[in-house]
Amino acid sequence: MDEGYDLQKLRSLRKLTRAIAESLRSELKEHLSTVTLLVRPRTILGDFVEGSAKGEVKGSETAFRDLRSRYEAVAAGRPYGLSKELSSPIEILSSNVELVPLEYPHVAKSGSESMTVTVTQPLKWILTYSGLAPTRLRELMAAKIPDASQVKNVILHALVLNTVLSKQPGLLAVFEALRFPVVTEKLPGLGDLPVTCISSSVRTVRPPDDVLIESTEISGLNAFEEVVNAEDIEEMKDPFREKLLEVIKANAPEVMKG
Amino acid sequence: MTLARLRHYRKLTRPVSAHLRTQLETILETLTPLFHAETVFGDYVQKSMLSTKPEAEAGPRAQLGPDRWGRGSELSMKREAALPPTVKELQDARKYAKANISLKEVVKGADRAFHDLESLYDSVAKKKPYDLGLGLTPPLPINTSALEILPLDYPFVARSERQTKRVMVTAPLTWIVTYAGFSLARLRALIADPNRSRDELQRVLTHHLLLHVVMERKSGLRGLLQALHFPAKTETMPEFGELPLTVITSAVKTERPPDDVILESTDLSGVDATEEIVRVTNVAGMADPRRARLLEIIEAEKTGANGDA
Repeated sequence: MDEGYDLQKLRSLRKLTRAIAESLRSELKEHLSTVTLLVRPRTILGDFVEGSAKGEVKGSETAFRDLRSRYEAVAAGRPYGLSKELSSPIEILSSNVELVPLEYPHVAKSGSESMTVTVTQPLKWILTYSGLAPTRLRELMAAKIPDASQVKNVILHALVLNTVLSKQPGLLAVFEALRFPVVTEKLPGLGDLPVTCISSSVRTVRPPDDVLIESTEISGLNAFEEVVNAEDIEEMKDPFREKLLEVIKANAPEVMKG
Repeated sequence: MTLARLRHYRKLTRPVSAHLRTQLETILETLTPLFHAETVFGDYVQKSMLSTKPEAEAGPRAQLGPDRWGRGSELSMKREAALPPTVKELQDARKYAKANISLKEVVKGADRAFHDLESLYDSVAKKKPYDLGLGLTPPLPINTSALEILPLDYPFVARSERQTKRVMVTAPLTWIVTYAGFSLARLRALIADPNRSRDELQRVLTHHLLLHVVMERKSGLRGLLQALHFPAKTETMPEFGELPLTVITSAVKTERPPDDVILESTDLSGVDATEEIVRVTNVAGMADPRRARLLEIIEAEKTGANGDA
């Protein structure tokens, strides 16, 4: 086993990771709940959303056009092979957002041993409309005959959320300033579907493979959660303060010297 | 502090305040829909606010169904969005409302919010310096949901051994937030005008109170602004009676120069006004609450681990 990661250290890092993840997740959830109105599909897509109160939303036509072209590209492509058609108004099943932990498969190797482990990133989340996480697609597509309507709904909601956020650069900047940057990623097995993720300013790391294997052998589950790097927190910088110091340096360098 | 030093700090204060003001304006512009009075008061305020275009431009699609006072598509098409309802409109509306209450437009908690607003209005408007006998009649005419910020000015008496002078001091990193067009300057001018329109005074006063109640009822907004280093609070100023003013400050502290420096600088400029200053240490020494909270968690885990051992 790697000397830097004995099981005792892993255990204490696990407790620390859980506490930090809980604190950051609850802060992020609070902020998301405050801005819920801004991430509702109607905010950007207006009357192109079924059942919404009538009212013209500036730019909704362009937003819907973008959504439709993205939907056509993703739905008709691998692995979905759905019909390209997307008519309006679209039906939205949920407009509340939730956070789902981000997982990825990892092949851990140690000597002659090798195993696929599902690794969770506890400080990076998928942002999704409730109950419609894009990762559900793996499960849906694994069925003998995938339910096309459910697959379509999950793809559509992932694309709607991504469109709603990308049309509001100011909101993305707010999350950046909150140190919860929003990023778009493609996940293994989900084709070209853009998945909206939110990360935090604290990084997590995956311990060496032999530690993973030992840990999964003890737990009996082929799953593992990354752990925080406590030194990152010690060295954490506040971008708000850093930017101000830059402003001062650029405008009044002599003051900095004084 | 000398005048030379004050000049030195001024050079620092200007870019810092310009940078932070721009940042705050951008944030508020992004969050504007969250400050819509309608999201808290439902159909107690005019519905045309949901439209992003002026009514005339947006056309009939911008009109919602009739509200509980019957003010829907037909009535609101005929009047200016900014004007309060006429007596006839209200009479028609009440008749209409009896049979046509549009429940789906009712915002949860709107009744309570309006009740809070009414109580607050009664406690502020009927006293000095307003002395308004008018009550609130819903739906309230709302002119805008955009916000504007202006640095806070306050009077201060600077004293030295030989001199005493009343000066206006600007706190460059403390801003009064109002709905656009309803600044304190407008309210101040109305208070000072003996021939003021009571309706106009009521409208300005109501916009301040609406914003206050919106902020009170959406506590998440305060948390969000705090996390963005722009904490919001409520303050009163003697010249505006008991009117609660929404104030946003910055995590960067400013300081008023010493009295003798204020007196000297205002003697030189000929203007009885000065501005608070930012020191480098106010920026360099800024605390990072997120880092502090996470370090506390680390410390608590360490203590727990030692206890376990």
